[in-house]
Amino acid sequence: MAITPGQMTAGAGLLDAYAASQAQQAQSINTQTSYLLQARDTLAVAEVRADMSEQYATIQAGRTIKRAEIEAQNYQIAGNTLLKNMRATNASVRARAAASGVVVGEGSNLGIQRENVAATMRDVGISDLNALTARVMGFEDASAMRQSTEYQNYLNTFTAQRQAGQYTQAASASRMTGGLLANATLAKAVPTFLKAM
Amino acid sequence: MATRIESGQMQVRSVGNAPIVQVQQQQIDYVGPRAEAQAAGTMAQILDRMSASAFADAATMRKEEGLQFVASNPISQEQVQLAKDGVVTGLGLGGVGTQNIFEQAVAKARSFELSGHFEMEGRNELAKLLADVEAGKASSEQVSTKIKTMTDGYSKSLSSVDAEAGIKFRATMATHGNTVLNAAYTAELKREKAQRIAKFDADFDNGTRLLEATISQGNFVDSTGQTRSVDELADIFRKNVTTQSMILGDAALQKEYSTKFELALRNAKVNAVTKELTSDANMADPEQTLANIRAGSAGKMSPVLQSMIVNDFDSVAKVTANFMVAVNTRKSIADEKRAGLKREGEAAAINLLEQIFPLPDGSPKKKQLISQLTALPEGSIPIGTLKDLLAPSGEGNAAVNFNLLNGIYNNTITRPDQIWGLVGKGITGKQAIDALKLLNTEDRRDSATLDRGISQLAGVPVVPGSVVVLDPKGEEFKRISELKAEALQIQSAAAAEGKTLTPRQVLIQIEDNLLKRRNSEDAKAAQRRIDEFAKNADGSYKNGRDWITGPVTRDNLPALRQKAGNDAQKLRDINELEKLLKRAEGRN
Repeated sequence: MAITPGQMTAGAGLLDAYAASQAQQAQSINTQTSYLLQARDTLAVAEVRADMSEQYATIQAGRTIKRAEIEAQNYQIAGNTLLKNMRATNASVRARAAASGVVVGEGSNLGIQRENVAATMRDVGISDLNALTARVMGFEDASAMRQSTEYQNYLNTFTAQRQAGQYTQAASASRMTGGLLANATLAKAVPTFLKAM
Repeated sequence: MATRIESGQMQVRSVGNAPIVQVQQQQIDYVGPRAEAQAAGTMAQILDRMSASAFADAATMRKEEGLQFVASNPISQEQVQLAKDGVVTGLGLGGVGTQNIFEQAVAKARSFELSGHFEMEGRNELAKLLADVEAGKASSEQVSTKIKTMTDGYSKSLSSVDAEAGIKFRATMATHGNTVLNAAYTAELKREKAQRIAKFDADFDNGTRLLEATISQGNFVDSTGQTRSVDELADIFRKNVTTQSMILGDAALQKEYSTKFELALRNAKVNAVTKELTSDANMADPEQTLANIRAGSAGKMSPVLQSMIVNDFDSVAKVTANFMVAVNTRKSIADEKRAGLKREGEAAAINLLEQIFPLPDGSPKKKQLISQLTALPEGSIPIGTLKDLLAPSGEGNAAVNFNLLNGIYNNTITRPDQIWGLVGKGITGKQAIDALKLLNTEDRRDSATLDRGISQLAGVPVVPGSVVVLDPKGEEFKRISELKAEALQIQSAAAAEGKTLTPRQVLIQIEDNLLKRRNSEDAKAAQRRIDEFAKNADGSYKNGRDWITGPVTRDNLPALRQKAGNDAQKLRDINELEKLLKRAEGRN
């Protein structure tokens, strides 16, 4: 039996529908792949960022400790300077007392020297405290810096994993949608083809 | 240099902010649920479309099933009748107002079926109505009411099954019904108009008759006693005709009746004047009457004639023609009367002469008949030839008689005086009477056929209108006499058997007899002897007969006779050949 033009058109329509369903499958696979790549990239980027953040935090923490040490030393230097100034001042007092004929180790000049010592030592004590504080705070800051970076990294990694999970889920959904559409296209084409045949 | 040191040169270091990184939560793009939702949406759409498509297919299939059901179970006449009565429930006509597609399809199909039935019946009714309209049995109002009632009833029944079918049915019936209604209106209008026209026509005829009567009086007297011309009366009639035809609202009718009126008026005038002119007084002297017509004088119709001369000279010509025709007719009638008297006289003369001829001379009867003959009207018989007519009968000249009869058959002799003129100059009185009888015979054509046929059988050439020179002692004349005698014999024999033969039947019988004689053994033997008269079987001439060359026939016999000269032997041969020819021709 010869094939009629109507049957030929119906056959062509079926082939077209099959091609469309395959195209939909391909499209869904493409979308799935794209999502999966995004998931992988998200994880990779999160890891890189975590590594970088950690390195940055380590460097920053080192510098913070160093800066605290320098500050502590500066406070010690300032204490020493206060002491040097006290000795010079007291020497001057003693010189003046001697020049005036006053007994150097007695009397008012001694009281002045003692007051000078006391006043200087109070400042030296503060400077010493500052040096200690600077040192302690430097350690604390460095620790806090590293810890917060670690927390942030942890959170970022966790978020990236969740995001990757979303992408993976979207990939599956896209794949499934493509399959459904492809099947529907075919399912719709077959009865039409049969009607026309 | 100062000697005293003040404390407070050093301040406690301030505590700065902790250089920690503020933990910040990263935004997550929840694309997964979104994609899944999209997939679910897509799937929902697909399922929706698939279900819609499936339902549509199912609906189509159910519809098909419904139609199939209706096709397989056609509506019965009872159902149709019930539906016509408006009862549609419980008839299996499908669910009216249902949502079920199968039931809807059944209802739709049933509505088509019912619509078809109703339309058929409707058309039938309309056809009957149309016939009634054309026959003038139904008025437009009746037609309108009937169409409305029928359409409403059927449409209502149909609408209860399917409203759409009801609407379509109503539209269809409206179309058909309008045609019928239109026909009814047209027929009614036509009838009404025809009635009015008939009334008008009758009135017009009455009017024209009255006008003609008035015109025949030449003038009329109005209500004041004043004499007026017929043209004034015609004007009144003319206006009346125009007014009435305009009331009918038909310009063509107005034109037609105006023309008819003018024609009727003209005819009335012509008739009245003709009537006056054809009175005995005017017919007595036609020339004077014609002169009077030219002068416009026609007695009481003079005013009409004068008006015609001035306004309508064609009518004058017609009146003159009518008068001339009347004069000619009167003259023709008189001539015919005279001719009739003459014919009667001739017939009486023939009758008397037939009685006179057999009587002996000097008999009282003959004398009496002769006196009657002479007393006949003038022209019945030429007095100059009376002596010759009554003279003792001789043989007469056969050739003259033959040509006379031939002339009668050929219509060259058409008048009795042509025959009378030959009496004593070739024909006898008796032959003249026979010729006159033949001239007065109605069926001369058959007689001519017999006479001409006999002449042809006798070998005489007969050409219509020609004169034949016939030797009374010749062979042809003898043969004619023989065949005429045979014809008389056949007619006598038939008369004896109580039969009447037409001349054509007689001629056929003569021909048959002649053929029989020619086909007889004797005739054949005579023909053989003629053929072998001069030559032997081997083609050589017989002794002393070599002078006879060619075939021997009746036609070349005179030539042979001339060739024979005075040779006695040859003349004997000629005589023998003549006898043989006579036998071969069946003339024993």
